[in-house]
Amino acid sequence: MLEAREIKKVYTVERGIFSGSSFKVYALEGVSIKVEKERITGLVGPSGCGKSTLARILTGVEKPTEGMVLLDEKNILNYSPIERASKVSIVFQDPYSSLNPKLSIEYQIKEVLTLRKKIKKNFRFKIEKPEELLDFVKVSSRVLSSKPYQLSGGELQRVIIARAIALEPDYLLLDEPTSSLDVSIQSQIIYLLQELKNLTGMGMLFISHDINLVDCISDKVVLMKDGRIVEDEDYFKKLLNSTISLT
Amino acid sequence: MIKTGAGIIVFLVLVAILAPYIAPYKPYEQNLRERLQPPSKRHILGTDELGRDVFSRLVYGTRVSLSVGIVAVGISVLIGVTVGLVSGYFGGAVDAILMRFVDVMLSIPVFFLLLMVIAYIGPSIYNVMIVIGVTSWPSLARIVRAETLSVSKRNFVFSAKAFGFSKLRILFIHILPNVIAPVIVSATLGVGGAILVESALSFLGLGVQPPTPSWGNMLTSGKDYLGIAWWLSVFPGVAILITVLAWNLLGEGLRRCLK
Ligand SMILES: Nc1ncnc2c1ncn2[C@@H]1O[C@H](COP(=O)(O)OP(=O)(O)O)[C@@H](O)[C@H]1O
Ligand SMILES: [Mg+2]
Repeated sequence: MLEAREIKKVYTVERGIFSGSSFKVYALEGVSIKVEKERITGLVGPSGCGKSTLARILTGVEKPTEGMVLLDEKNILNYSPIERASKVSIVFQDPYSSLNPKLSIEYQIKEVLTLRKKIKKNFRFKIEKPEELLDFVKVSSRVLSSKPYQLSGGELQRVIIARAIALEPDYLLLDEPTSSLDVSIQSQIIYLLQELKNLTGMGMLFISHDINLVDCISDKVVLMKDGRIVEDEDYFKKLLNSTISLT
Repeated sequence: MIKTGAGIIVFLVLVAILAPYIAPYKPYEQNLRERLQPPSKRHILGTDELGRDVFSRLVYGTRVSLSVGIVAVGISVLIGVTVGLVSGYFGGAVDAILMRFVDVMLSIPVFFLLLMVIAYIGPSIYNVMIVIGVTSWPSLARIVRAETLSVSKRNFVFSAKAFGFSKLRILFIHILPNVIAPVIVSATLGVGGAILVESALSFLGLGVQPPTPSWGNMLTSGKDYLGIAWWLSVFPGVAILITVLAWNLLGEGLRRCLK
């Protein structure tokens, strides 16, 4: 299980170079959440409520101000970076900034496959060549020689998902993975993610501001507002039935 | 702009490499009977006070100017880029210390620093290269730091961290290619600057030492004969002008097209 316990995160923002003053942003004010294997946990909330911050903290890369993240019952900060990477992975909203614009798709896939060779872990799938990894996300190996800007948003997001699952992680964090894609492509990506979950048994955290989408694909839905988890069932039902968007 | 600049530079590089084949005389070959001859068929740019062929010395001087310019900027890029990357990526105390050091370096008039250091360690072509390189990186470090700060916020850098890639890989494979464009521009402009500084140092007798021909020290020896042998000063001056102009043209052109 990947679990956040009472996470608080405060950002200090410098107001200006000359004034020397700064103010604090309370992005998370005590958030607890559990991501279980073989399940899709949905996380919904209006934009700015702290969803992305929580996702970044759950990867173990960003440190919380207070509270801790437990990965299989052990503090995530006590794992080595590679060991942690082989268990938790993340996909962001904007596919265009998620790959290095200067490096080819092939290079960026190979560098995670090289990492895969270094990890001592019983992998279930045989993935040695970039083509084999791309098969999982149904992308033609023709993209390998391209640079990221030459791909469409949908293709790019598939490549990013391929990289994210290359180490066969137990948990995949999806931060609005379809929000910047065309509607028709959105459903294809969601279908792909569900397929991958069934195939690998990964636990997923599906973050979105679209409550109907989250409700439809998740086994469990968690609501967030202003840096806190909202437990109110009625609030949830009301949101679900209303056509008013959360954003 | 790029084409003109690059064309002249390629030409100069060829001149430097092929100097022994282009120069009609040896650069040190003295002929006291033919001192201070004006340009003629035998000596197309004339001869100097020791009867040496000015054209041949100018051709060999290309080697000095180009190598000083390129090596000095190479050193400056190496230090500037590393400091900028480290400062921008790690932030915090490392950044604060490095940037205060940069501030101090930038507030010292570089040329006087150069003069002091060279006067202390002694003039030679290698010292000139090293000293120009070691004193000219701070502005480059600033540029690279600012770029690194903004690139580090992008998702692909976060992904690289999430994968547990080494800091070296993140800095030099993921961030560096994304901050290199302004470095190329500023380095290209820097070569012209370094060539000028070398000429100035050599002119003051603190650069490349005679009898090795450099455009700067040719100017120095020419200045004593300005009234009677204009060709001693004018041709090295023109060579410096054209070379610096070529690097500036290339740098400006690159700046426009990399935008
Ligand atoms: N690096 C940061 N520095 C300062 N403030 C930040 C930073 N990251 C996020 N925030 C602030 O934290 C709050 C939550 O942001 P975020 O987690 O991106 O929300 P969401 O993903 O739900 O839209 C926002 O007010 C945002 O401005
Ligand atoms: Mg977000």
